Amino acid sequence: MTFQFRKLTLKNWLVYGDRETVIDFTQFNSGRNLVVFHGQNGFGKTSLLRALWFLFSDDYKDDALVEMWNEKERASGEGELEVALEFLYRDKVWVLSKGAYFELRGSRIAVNPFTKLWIDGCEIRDQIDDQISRVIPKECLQFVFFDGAEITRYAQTQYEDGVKEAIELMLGIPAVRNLRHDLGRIISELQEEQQEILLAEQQNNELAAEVERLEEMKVSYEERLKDLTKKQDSIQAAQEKLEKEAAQLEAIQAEQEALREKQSRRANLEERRDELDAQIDDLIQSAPVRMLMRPLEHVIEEAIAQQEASSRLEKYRLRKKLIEELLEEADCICGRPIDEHIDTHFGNEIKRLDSIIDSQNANPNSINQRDLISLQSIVDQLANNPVDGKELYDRRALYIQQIEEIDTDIERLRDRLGDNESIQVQELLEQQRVTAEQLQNVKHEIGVVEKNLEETQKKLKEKRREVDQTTGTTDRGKGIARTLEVTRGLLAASEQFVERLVDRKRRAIEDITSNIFKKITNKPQEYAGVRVRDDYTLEVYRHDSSTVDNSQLSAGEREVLAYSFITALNLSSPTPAPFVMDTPFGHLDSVHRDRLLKSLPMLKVQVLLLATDRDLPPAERGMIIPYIADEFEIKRDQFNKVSYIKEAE
Amino acid sequence: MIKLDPTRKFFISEDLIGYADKLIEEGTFRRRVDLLLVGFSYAVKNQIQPADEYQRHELIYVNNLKDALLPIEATANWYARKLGYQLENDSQLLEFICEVGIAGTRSLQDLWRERRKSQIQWDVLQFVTESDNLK
Repeated sequence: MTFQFRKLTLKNWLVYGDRETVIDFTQFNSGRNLVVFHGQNGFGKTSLLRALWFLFSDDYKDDALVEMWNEKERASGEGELEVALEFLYRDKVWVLSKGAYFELRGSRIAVNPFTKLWIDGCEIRDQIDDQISRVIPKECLQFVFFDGAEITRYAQTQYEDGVKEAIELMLGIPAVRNLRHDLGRIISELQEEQQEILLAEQQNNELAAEVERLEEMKVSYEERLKDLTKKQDSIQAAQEKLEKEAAQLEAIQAEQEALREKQSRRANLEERRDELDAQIDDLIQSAPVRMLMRPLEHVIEEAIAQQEASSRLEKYRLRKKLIEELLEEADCICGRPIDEHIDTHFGNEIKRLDSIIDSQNANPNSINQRDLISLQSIVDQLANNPVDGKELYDRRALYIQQIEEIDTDIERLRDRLGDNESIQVQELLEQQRVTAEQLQNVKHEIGVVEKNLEETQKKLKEKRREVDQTTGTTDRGKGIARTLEVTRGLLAASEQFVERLVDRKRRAIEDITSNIFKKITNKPQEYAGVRVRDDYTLEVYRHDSSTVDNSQLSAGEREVLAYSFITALNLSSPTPAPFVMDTPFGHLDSVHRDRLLKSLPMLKVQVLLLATDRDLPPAERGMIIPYIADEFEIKRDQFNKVSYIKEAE
Repeated sequence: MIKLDPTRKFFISEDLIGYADKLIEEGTFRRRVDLLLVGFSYAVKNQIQPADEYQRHELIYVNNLKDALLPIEATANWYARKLGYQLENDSQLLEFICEVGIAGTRSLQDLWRERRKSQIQWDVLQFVTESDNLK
């Protein structure tokens, strides 16, 4: 192992206080490559990870340094912070120390940062940042010191800006690309010199102009070709998308049909609910009268009683009239004379009848016959149409519930259909036809431009040879021609080399990623491996060669995929760096976690695990004990608010 | 039986206007007078005395009540007798109906303090169902 940590020292760094925290790492021993830090949340695991970031990054400005300074020390306003790492790199001992001195000036803290580097005991004073950057470029820190919570971002279908470049930097590709660029620049300079020689002789002006024209044409064709290739890529991507869509169309159509059916059912239920609403509103409006059913029945009973009373009244009137008429006669209708006794009896009877008639006439509450009939009819109608409010409400609640259920189904279907909701077969076929036509046109155009470029390059080559001959008559010209020949050869070789290198590295990463992924995944019968695309994004494929959409992978599977890739990336770099993983198993189930743990000893690099007790329960720890080189505990002195690290017991 | 003058207007108390408007806005009742009449019926059912303190706020004309008018008049005459009121003319009858309605609506306002449309409508339908079952 050409890169390993030997000693890390922290002073006043974040949660670690002024007592110097020193971590001594055991010399790497084949088979024992794991260094475990146990710590609860908030005790200082991430502070440790950030200390390593800090050492290899130059992004920390004054304000950030003040923030990194231990809070308790910061309160005093003066002091220092330091992070130092001793490590073995390419068989040399490096000691890198970074930090800052703080001084209180008025109300603000003045920051005086420092970076010191010793290699094999010699202090390096110049270009320290360049030296550090060669060990782990800051762009690559994300692949070396990583937070388990963020790891899944490497399993996306598209990377954020700069990730692809960082990956290539890690693989050492830019260095070769730079060589190609430098060679191209040398050739241009030499050719410019040749042009100068050529232009010095008037008879060669035409040749110089011709070379210049051909150069311009070449550049123009190259640019056009670049544009067309980009266009071709985008059309091909669109075509692939359409092909996928076509394949999914049948399923989409079935879902569209289901969606339409749900929508129609919803409209129907909505109509029925609205009808019920209207029915309820009508009932509410008629409620006051319906609520009066009982009193109305009393009113009607009383009115009927009154009517009966008035028919009796008529009888009394008739009787009174009859008695009064009799009193005017000398004899009664029975033939007996009306004497004083009878007269008195009839007089009393008339008084009694008058009293009854008067009392009946005085009742002003009598309801007329028409109103009584109307009231009776209203009460009968209400009685014959009883209301079951509960039933109405239950029915409406049922409709509302059914509508809500359908809404959930519709939402789910719409989510699944996404933008495809409105896509029709004809529309899709038309899009496919148009794309195919566009692709054909672009391909044709590329063919034409390539041919033109080839011809131009051929002509240019001939003219260049002519220029070489024409300018080769002088010693200077001969020298330039010779150098040009060699440089052109080198350029052609380096171009070929870059292509092969990129391809080789990508394939190497693909193989390692696949191997690790297959060892860890809990679906080895389903997943056959991982494809690394040209832009280094990842694609899991099955044994039947079909690919898995990354969005269909679970968070745990994405973490496994990302871990496999990052590991492969590190192992493919010229000098693999130690791995530092903070709370690494957050998304993983126990099967994935155990398999990932088992894979760690196979990595031929130091692996620092910053783990909570959930990440590494006793049984799992037992599993990796034979491979643990060092084991530390991050402790917290809660009274003094500082953390410290000690060797685990 | 004393009958109402169809060219007169029902009225509610000023303190209930805001509440009536809120219920109309929520769609619980269609008109303010519907709330007043539910209040009237509720008061009759629960033997609530007419309100005696209120600021009058006029609503719709009596003749707008159509089919509901006769049952309300008849019940009001009966209820007034029951409570021992001697109604002499149509204006007294109108005042009696509205005052009973105001008293009943105030009780309902207390009952429905935190309730929304569906709960209130549910309550009203329960009143109706109870009345139907009393027969």
